[in-house]
Amino acid sequence: MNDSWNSGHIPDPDLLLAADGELPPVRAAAIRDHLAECPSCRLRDAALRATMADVVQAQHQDFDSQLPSMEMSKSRLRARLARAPEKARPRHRLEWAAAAILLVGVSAMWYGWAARRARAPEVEIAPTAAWTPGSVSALTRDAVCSAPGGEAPSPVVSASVAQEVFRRYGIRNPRPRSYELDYLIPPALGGTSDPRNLWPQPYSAGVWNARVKDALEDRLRTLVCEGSLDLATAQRDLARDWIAAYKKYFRTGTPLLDHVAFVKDRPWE
Amino acid sequence: MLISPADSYAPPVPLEEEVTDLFEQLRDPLFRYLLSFGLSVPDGEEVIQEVFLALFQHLKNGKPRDNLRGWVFRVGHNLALKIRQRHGGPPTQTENSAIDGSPDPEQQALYNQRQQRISAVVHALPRQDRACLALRAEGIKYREIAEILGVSLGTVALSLERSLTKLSRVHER
Repeated sequence: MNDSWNSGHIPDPDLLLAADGELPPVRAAAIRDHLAECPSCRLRDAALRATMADVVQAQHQDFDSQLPSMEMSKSRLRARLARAPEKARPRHRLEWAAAAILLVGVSAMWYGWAARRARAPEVEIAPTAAWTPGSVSALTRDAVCSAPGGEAPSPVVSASVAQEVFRRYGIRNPRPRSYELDYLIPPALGGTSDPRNLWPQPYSAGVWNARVKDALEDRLRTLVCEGSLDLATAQRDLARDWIAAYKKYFRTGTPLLDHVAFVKDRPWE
Repeated sequence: MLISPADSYAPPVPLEEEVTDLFEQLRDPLFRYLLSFGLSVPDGEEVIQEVFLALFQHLKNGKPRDNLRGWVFRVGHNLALKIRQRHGGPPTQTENSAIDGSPDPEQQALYNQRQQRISAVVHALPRQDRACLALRAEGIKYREIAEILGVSLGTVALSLERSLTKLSRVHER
């Protein structure tokens, strides 16, 4: 694909810079003029742009499905910002402050994260795709809807599975009744007790907590069983981003008042 | 010249709100970059939280506000480097988020053969070329890429040309 100016064509690096808007206006205009007259350069320009577009698309397809819920991440950031020191430091200490923040951040990431989690159970925890992608059985809609106790609390998770889930999320010595070991896809919608379908959800602290999710689970099961929602869609929406699913199915940006006090599944003890 | 009250006064935006707005704009692009860098999802999430806490302090301390996007990516890149150094060895591949480990049918359908080949070529690129390409794919300008990666502008241009030449061979097939 390489040509040079000597050949009378625009070299690839210049085509790239022009496509990315990185050239000074005069040079960009010269390239535009040349492209208007030169089919060969137009072809290479189109190929480069198409390749870059493919890269952008591939990056989205590779990673977008793994991104945790934006609402959860934002809530977590807000909680941490609220705990940030109030007073600004004097300017001459800024470099030291920035270095300290980074150092503390990295150290905390590796040595203190678990401890912080254990000390601050009120912070909302998003189910991360790597540890909790969701897991479903092969139950059909009819089997799900005809199962007795669909509206009953989800089965209690065994102690060994609970320990495994807490360990994955770096929570040591969780406080009893602070969390619900929540099924990302509830058994009432075909979810299994596999640890990959579980994560420690703060029981009532924070905005997007276990009670709000329980309300969503009931709503989805009702929609599935009355035939207005496909079971696979309900499972997929929960697995992808349960908060987005809540907003979608309740048509609201924030939890409804009734749901903040909704009680169904029991907290972990 | 008279200045109207509307021109002379704009209510200050609380710093927390400003940082949260930036978080909304930049989290996904930065997260994709960190994952392309080889970080796991939990590590990526933690890095992002630390980056925006550092940004909060940065702004609170009256540091420059120009090109905050570049600043965010640069700090994220440096933190990711430290994590990778701690892990040692090649970057780990992140897991798929699909239910029961199998790809989502809708997403799988979108993965046509060409996209898979593109991904394969990208993953096989040298680390720095991959980083340049991933940053460019997130709309980062050449000069910003150079600052983030600590290389020259010419290195960025050459790296992108090299990568796109390899990728365009896939495109031509």
